[in-house]
Amino acid sequence: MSQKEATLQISGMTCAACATRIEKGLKKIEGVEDATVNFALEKTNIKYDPEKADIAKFKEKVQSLGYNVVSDKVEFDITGMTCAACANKIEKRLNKLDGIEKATVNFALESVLVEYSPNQVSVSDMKETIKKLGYTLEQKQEKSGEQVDHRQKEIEKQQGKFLFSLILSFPLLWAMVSHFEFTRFIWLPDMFMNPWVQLALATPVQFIVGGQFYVGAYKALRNKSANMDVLVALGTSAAYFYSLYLSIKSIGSGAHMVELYYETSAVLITLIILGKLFEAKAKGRSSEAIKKLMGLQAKTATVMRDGQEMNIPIEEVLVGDIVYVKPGEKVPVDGEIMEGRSALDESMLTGESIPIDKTVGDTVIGSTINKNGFLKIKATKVGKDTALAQIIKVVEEAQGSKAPIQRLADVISGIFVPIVVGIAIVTFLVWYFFLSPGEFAEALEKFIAVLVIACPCALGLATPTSIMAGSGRAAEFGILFKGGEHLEMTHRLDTIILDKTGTVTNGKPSLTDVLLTEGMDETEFLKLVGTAERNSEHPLAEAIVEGIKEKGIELGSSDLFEAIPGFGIRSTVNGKQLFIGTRRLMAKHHIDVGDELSKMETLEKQGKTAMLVAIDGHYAGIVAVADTIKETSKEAIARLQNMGLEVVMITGDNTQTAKAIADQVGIKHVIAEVLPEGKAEEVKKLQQVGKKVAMVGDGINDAPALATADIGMAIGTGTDVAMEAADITLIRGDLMSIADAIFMSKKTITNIKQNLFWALAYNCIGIPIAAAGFLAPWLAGAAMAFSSVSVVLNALRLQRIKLKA
Amino acid sequence: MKKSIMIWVISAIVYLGVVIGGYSVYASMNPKMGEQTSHVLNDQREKY
Repeated sequence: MSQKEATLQISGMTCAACATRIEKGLKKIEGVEDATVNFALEKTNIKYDPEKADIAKFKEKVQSLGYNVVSDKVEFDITGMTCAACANKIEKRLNKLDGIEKATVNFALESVLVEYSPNQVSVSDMKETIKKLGYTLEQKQEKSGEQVDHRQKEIEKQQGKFLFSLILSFPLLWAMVSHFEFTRFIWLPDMFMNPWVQLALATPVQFIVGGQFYVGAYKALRNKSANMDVLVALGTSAAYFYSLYLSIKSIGSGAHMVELYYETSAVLITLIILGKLFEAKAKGRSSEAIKKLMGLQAKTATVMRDGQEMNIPIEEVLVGDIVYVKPGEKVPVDGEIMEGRSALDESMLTGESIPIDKTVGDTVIGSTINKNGFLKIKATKVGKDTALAQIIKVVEEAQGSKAPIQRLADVISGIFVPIVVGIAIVTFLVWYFFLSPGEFAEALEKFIAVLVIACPCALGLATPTSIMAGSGRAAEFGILFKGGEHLEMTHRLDTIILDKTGTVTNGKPSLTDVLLTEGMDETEFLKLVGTAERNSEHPLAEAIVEGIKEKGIELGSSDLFEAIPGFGIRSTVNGKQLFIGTRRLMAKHHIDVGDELSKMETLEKQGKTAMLVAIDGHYAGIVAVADTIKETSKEAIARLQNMGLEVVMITGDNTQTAKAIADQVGIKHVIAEVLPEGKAEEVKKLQQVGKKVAMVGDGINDAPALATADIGMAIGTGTDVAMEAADITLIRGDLMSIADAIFMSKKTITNIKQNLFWALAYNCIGIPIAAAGFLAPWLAGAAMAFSSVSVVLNALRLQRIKLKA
Repeated sequence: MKKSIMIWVISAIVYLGVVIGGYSVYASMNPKMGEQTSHVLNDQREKY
């Protein structure tokens, strides 16, 4: 059975209970295997069987539950249509694309209006699809109203409502404040104490501004559940209608100064709207990492087309295009340098502050900055395939995923509201019958205070906002967590297994030692060796040639070259016969090496591969190559060990070489001579003794071990394979990122625990205080409004964490 | 300030003006209601 995934943007959720309800509703649809709703991101991710369910059904379900699915609209001009059949063909093809909700082609106007989910399909996908049919789509300049960020629109609407509510509540608040014993001297216009004036002021606040709470409560109750809206609607209605009852009762009685509660309902609504406003703004900030990443993308690219240099929008760059990047410009797409040399600033993707030198043949990542040289680049990846696009995708998915720690919050928020209503009723009854017998107003006040102090908002926001902020901050340093569960698991790790080649070392051998016999000229020696080896394709030979070239020695050409597999090479350069290779090669050709073998053994003990060199039948020296250790490996391993983690090195190399490398970086536990498939077994062995293991590798040949480990970390530049195989991708090839990832995980989990603690403690402490009568309803409302704001602000602290990068 | 926010603010001010104006007109027809007071004055008034 095939499985598809869909992500929909939802609007209208007011608290975590709404998210739980949508989740439950979606899971009930036939064909839906899993559905998760992220309250903070206002997104749902659905895994479903496309034969049984589709997006239209999900949209319908979400709407039936009382919420909306936000979709973008885009209008294109179509060129190339000749008849109605063309229109039909385009319409059908677009409607078949994943993420397209509705596409309507107008043949007469030669345009198409598409409603789509931007999380699933992009404008360039649509253009590309229709291009294949032989038509061209040109996006109309004017964007439809719905394309404006719905969050921003919502914030503006709430701002308007808040100010409206504030203006009308102010006279009521004035009247209330002057009620206190110590503020009774305050001058108060008589009209504000008039019940009918108060009614006139409180009514629009109650029903126009507070209408959203009634609608939300109705939707929730219709679906046999309860949310924050139910609490607010109940609390404020109780105050408002009781005051209305007293106002009506006062007619004819002549009482001018009846005890009213209009200000309670109006001020409560004002404060709750203010809290929601702050919450929405803070929530927006927690997804800043994505906005930052998106902002990195270059807008245009200079390409060579039909022999002409042209500046085109980034969406129009195709694979194979030759792109010109001037100094100071952003590299528009991923590619390979064809011409030029420059230092590239990759800090925006890797956190690495020092620019990296790149030259012909090196790969460049889109959105990095070309610092000083002119580059001619061949585009290899464009659009959604670029490293940046993939990073954005991974970060978005991580931010939208749920950490297991959230289950507790989900369970509590699901049953929270009915329990609170129950407690409020009990409070009312206890006050009315026992504590202040017959005092309806007093009991009602306590009832309202309990209702409004308890809100599951903070509980619902506690985990997702921290996950968003934590994973976003980590991404800024080139650490990509694939999901909330991995962010949570990482802090539990106690053992780190490092693959040797490419992880601890650079994975690229280089020339390390040149030992000569007495009287031999080094330049001459290296020129002969380099010229002989340049014909070989062996990686060790390439390392020798590269090393000699770096010394500025020019190489000539050999007269004869012969590779002797398993032994080395034989070559003739400038009439001189050279043998370069193993002991056996020397023995085979009866070349006396004398005591020099001890030097060779010393080099091998250091983890190097040494080759003996003989010129014209006489031993002349040794050249040694080795995979060099990454600059920061030793420091990073020491940091991991200081964090109390056991560091293990695993490699397919022989024990001697492995130990030599391990000694240099301070690793005591080495597992050597392990085949790639055996690495997973070694991971399992450690897990069986109760270790929480992270495997760190390059993500391709280590894939089975990466998958077996509790956490698989891929070292790489964000390539597809690495990202697919691992739970965490460390874009910088630096081992410091491992410690940073663990540090970030610990900080995020601590932050989540703080949030959950305060959200729960706030309710556990607040409810008894309100029930005991120590909290006026308006004060309870203010506390409730700011509880969720404080949770979000605490999560935002994660955005300021400093990592070692 | 955005237009949508402005609409809410102006609506509230106009409505408040209407309520105050309406009350003032009503109070002018009924002189006993036109006094301005504080809670202290009101308490004193109630004592008498």
